Amino acid sequence: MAPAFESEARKYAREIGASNLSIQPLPESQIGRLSPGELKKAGKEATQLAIVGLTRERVFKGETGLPETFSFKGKDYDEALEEMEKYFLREGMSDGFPLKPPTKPAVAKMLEGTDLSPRHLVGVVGNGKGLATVEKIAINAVMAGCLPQYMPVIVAAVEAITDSRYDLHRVQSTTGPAAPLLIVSGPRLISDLNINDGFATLGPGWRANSTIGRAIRLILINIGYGWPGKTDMKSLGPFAKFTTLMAENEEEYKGTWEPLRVVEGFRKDEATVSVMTVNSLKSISGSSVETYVKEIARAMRGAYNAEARTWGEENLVLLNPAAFDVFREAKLSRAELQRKLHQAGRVPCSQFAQYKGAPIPLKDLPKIAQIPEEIVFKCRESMENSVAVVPRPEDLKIIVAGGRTGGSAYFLDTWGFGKSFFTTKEIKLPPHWDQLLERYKGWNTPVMK
Amino acid sequence: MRVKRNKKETGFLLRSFLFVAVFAAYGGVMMNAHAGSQVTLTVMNPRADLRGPTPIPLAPRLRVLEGKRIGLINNTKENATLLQPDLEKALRQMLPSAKLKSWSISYRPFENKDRALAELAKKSDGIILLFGD
Repeated sequence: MAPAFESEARKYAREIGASNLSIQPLPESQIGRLSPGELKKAGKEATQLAIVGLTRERVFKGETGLPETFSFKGKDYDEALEEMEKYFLREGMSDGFPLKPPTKPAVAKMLEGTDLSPRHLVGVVGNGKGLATVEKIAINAVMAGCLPQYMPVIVAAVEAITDSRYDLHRVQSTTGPAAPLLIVSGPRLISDLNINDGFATLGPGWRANSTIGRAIRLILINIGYGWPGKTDMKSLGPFAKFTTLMAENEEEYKGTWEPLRVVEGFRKDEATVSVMTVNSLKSISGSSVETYVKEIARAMRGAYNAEARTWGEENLVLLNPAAFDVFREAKLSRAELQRKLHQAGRVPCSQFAQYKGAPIPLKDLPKIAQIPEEIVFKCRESMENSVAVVPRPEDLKIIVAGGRTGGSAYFLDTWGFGKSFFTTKEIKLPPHWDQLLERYKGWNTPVMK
Repeated sequence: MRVKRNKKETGFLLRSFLFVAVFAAYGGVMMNAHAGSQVTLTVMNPRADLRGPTPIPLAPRLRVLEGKRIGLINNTKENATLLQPDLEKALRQMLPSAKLKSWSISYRPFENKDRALAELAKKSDGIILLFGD
C-alpha cells in the first residue's frame, strides 16, 4: 500500500483488535507508472519489508482515555473562543467553519431535543468506529449551530448512516468522491423545523438544512474519526461533504404519487430521513416524458462505471415541480417511470464488462464486480446484449423537490465499491415536541416555492 | 492595609459575586477575579470513545523462513497485481527454500470470505497480504 494509507490501515487493525499487525507501506505509491527496472526494485523492497513483518514482533502502546472537557483561556470571551477554535483545527476536530462552543449548558440545552438518555448508544460510526452516544451527538450538534429541536432528525440520520446497509466504513475511507446526502420526508416536520423543500433545497440559507447536514459531517469527523489523508482518503473530496440536507416537496405530488417515506415502507403520518451516498450530480432539462426519459437514461449510462463497479446500487432522480407536471399530466405512475428508465438506461455487454478500457473476462465479472451469474450468461450469449445499469426498476429512487421554475431534474449517482444502499429511518419526536418548538422558535427563513 | 466595610457594602459585594459566579457558570465561562478580565472557556469533548475491540492474538512470528510455507494474497487491486510478479521473483531469490503459494482474493466482500481466508491461513506458515491501495 501507499504511505498515505498506512494510518487508515493501522486504525482499522486497531479497531479489529490487531494493533500489533505488521503493516509496511511501500515508499512508491504510483506502481502503475514504474518502469520494469523500477518495478523490480520495488518488488525487492516489498520482499524485505514482508520478511521483517513475518519475523519481527511489533508492540504498540495502548489507547489513552479521552478527556471529558477542554479549557481555553483568553483575556476575554472572544479570545478564549479563538483559542478553542485554533485547538479544534489543530487537532482535526473542526470542519473549518467557525464553531459554536459546546459548553455543558449548551449541550444540556441541545439534549432537551430528545427523550433519549445521553448515554444511549445510537450507533457505531465508521470508519474509526467511535461510539455515537446521544451526548456525543449533541456536542457535535451544538458545534454545528443546531437548535435542540433538530436532535430527532440528527439521531435518525446517525441511525441511518450507521446501518450496515449504508456501509459507512467504505464511504468514509474511499478515494472516490462519496458523501452522504440526507433527504427528509414528512411535511409537518419539514414545516415545524423550517427545512427548505423549495427553491435551492440543496443550498444554503436555512438553519435546519445547513446545520443538520453540518452536524452529520462533524459527527463523521469527531465520532467516526474520518480525517482527510489519514482515514478519509478522498483525494479531491466532493463539495457535498460540507453539508447536504434537503427535503421532499410533497405538496407538488398533488396526491398522484406516494411520498418517499411510504415508498420506503413507512406510514404516511410518520416522518423519515433517508441517506444516500452521492457520487456526482447531472442536471437535466426536458419538455416531454420522452425527452426526460432519454436524457435521464443518458445520465444513467454516463454514470455507470465498470472500473468503479457502480452496478447493483440505487441512484436518485430529483424532479422539480415543473418536471414532475410532465409526468403527472401524462398520468405516469412512479413505477411506470422507473420501468421506462430501467429499460432505457442500458449499456451493451461490450461496454458493461470493461476495466480501464480493456474487456474484463466474463468469468471474472462476478468476482470483480459482484455481477450475478445471469448477467454473465446473457453477455456470454452475445456481447451486443444490453444490461440495465440499475438491477431493478425500483432501484432508481424518484422524488419531487425544489421550486417551480422551468422543468429541471437532477440525476445523482451513487458510489460503487460498497455496496452502499439507500437507507431510511423514522424520525421519532419526543413527547414534549410542541413545547420544544415554542421554546426555541424564531429561527425561520421564508421558504420560496 | 485592612479595609473595613459596612454591612450594606458587604451585602452588595456578596450579591454581586454570586451573580457573576452564577452567570459565568451558566455560560460555561469562568471569570478569574485575580487575573482581571482573564476568561476560561470550558467545552465538552466532541470526540467519541472507540468501540473496544476484543484483541486478536496474532500468530507467533516465524524465527526462520527457510522451508516455510509462505502464502501471498493479492487483494486484486491494480497496484497489487502489477507488483506481484516482481515480489514473487524477489521472494524466490531471497528465500529459495520457502514454499511460495499465491492467491487472488478480492478486497470486496463476498460470500464465505472469512472461511476462504481461514482456509488459506491453514495452508500457510506465514502470509503476505498485498494491498494495492
